[in-house]
Amino acid sequence: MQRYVITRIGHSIVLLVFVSILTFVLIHAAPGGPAILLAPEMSGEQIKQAERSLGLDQPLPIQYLRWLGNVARGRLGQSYGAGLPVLGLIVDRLPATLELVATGLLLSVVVGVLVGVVSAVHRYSVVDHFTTGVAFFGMSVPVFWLGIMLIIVFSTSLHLLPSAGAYSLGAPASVGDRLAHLALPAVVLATANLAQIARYTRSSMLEVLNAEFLRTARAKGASARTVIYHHALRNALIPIVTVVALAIPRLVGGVAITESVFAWPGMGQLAVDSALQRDYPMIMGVTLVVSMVVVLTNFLTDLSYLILDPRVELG
Amino acid sequence: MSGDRRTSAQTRGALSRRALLRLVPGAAVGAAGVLRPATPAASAASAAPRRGGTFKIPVTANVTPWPPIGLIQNLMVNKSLFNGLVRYSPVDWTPQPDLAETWEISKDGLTWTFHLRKGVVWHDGRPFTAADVKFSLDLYADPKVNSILQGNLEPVAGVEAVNPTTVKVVTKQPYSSFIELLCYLTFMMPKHLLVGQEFSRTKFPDSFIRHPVGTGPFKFGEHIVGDHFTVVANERYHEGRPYLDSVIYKVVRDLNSTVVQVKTGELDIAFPTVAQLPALESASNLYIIERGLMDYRFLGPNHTDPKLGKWFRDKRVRQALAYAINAKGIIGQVAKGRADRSNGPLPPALKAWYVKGAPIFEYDPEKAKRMLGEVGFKAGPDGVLAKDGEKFSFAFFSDQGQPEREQTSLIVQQNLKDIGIDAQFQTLEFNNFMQRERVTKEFSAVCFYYVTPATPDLHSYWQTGGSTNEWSYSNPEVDRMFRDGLGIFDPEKRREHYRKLYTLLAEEQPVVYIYHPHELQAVSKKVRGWARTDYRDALLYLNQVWVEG
Repeated sequence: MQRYVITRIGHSIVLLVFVSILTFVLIHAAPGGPAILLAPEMSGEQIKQAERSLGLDQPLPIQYLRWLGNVARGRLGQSYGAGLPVLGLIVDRLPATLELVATGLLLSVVVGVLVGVVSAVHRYSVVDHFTTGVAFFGMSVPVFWLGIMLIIVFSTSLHLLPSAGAYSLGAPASVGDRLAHLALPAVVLATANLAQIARYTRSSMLEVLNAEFLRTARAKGASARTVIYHHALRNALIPIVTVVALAIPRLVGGVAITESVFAWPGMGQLAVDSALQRDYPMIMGVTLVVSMVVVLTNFLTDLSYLILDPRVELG
Repeated sequence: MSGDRRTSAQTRGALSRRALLRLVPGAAVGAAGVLRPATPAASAASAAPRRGGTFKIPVTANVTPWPPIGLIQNLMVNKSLFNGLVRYSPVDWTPQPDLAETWEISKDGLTWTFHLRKGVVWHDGRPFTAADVKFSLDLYADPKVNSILQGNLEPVAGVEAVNPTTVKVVTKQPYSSFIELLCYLTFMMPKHLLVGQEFSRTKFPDSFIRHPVGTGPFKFGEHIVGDHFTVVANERYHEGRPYLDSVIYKVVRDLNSTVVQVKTGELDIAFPTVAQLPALESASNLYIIERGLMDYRFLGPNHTDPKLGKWFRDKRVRQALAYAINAKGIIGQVAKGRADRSNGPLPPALKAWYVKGAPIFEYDPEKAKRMLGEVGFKAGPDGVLAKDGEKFSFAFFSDQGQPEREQTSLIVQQNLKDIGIDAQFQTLEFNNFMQRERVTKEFSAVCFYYVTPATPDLHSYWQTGGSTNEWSYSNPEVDRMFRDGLGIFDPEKRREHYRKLYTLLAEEQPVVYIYHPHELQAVSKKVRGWARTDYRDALLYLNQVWVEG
């Protein structure tokens, strides 16, 4: 076990370095320079001077190694735009993103599994056809479009929910206010995954429902509910856990669009902003942290197999 | 200019949004150089300003309250935190007292003396003095700080704090536009908090940007990076405590979102484009206001382009391009009539300096063709004009995600095609566009815009080697006239001088001047006292804004 963990950490570091090189090359290959250098009042000489002071006149490999050296010493640098340490900005934003991702994930798993079980048990019923239809819609609809539609319906037309932000500005904070702001982005974020989880649960359940051990369970007198949720679902979970685990990186990545549509003050928005403004230290920092979250969740997923299915061994 | 008189109890119900919208474009250009909203003015006096409340304004990007770096989202906030020595009038952009009560110019035109307002204190309670003025002007002029105002302060030879309330500024040569440019973003900074620190355009003073201190009507409140920046009423403001308790600058990246949020009341103001107006028509909680502003839209050819520069340097070719482009059609189709035809960089809204009689090249494709024929262009078998075996063919750029510029560019492309010029329009992502236009100069032409300070001294755009002369335009006569203008202080003579200069520029068409857009503001009906000018300058008068309970 110990050996396994150490190997995994080693792999993760190599992976992170690789991701950072790729990101670094890509952002510098993108046309245009940092927005901070582009104020219309600046002369060409002023722009060059600012570039020198940021070290942008150095060759790219040197710039990268300098960045890597700083990271090794725990420094992610200063954001060009905000002028504040990158790490602090990310730490400020991370909780909001995790809150949104966790809510979205919870919503998609609970509703998705439930819908999947119901459509598996009542296969080819009206309920099954309906949920299948909704699932396909959920998987195919673009996130930004769904977001805008929900804003039009629930915010501008019905005035039920706020259209943006994480809380009402200038009003005292309350749980109700927070949930109202969380509702639409969480639903949007959950939709695509929810649909997928529902489909996987359905097919996984269908396989298990025909298994012999379920007949045994029924034969020994277990109730329908126990059979489905205790015996069948538990065995159907492994593929579902994999799907959920695969969904996490996508949620963390996909949250950028949702956060932009709903002006949710999280990391995704920070990433989009810094990419548009060519805030190099910020992009590198955000990518690094997001990659770490993904690597970590993958690792935890592998560990969770051990708990769910004692037959799985790590090697 | 004490308050905005848009609202009145009886008209609010009587005039529908639609009626207002119909009326606004028809309204005459008022003395302020702005289009007046169509609500009766008289009755608002009945409402007494109310103290309290919050005003929520959108900004499109993260805010960094560090004046030397400029950028729109920052300066919007800076205007509530800081004061300048002088500021633009909300009526006609003439320089008005701010921290300087009066000023005079020496006979030789080289020394400006500013008499400062007494009893002004910084947000931390320390008195504001002449030493702060010297410190601030020196800071902005310092090449090491690399500020956006360095060019404006370049002619300044030295600043002297004569006594706590008197400042002398000596210039190397006469500099008649100095006072107008001082109105432009030259915020006074506290010496006692910044002296001895190392900072520049790329390195900000950490503690100061975390807690900026100014003399302005609002003090720093809270900054959640990327979400909002809050300023709160300065109880000790020298013009009296502002009516509002706080102003929240909310970061909303997407323009469509600002429109939604001003409709739902999550924002109190938004700045929509003409294309977004239909979405606002049904909103009974908003006024739609139209203002003139210092903004010109143009097609700018690169006079040093390796292939086309030799043609673009020929005035006749540029004039032919001007005849070929249907500016009126663009104003009608793209700006939906909410714009003025342009004869140069100065809009009609800048009444004091706009040159009425300057040449305008009205759409005349036949004439354009004839003129190019006289220069020696002949249509080839494919219909494209060519000279000495070289085709008149080039790509021109605009910045992505700006429907107005994209539509303008498509019309320009078609107009040019009609006279046999093969111009291909391409959008570039904003930073890429700016890099090419400003730094590498890899462009043949751009369809773009500039927002300028309210002064006729726009030498940096048109003088040879000017910092914003992206087109590398060069004309010794224009250079000389901009230089001479700085030595003329008498208002009448100055007007006459710039009238000649802008007539020459209109004739020259260094770029093809197309139109001056009007700014649209969607303002909550709860808001009163919002100055009747473009929003950048209205923000200088935020202390007069109040909201209904």
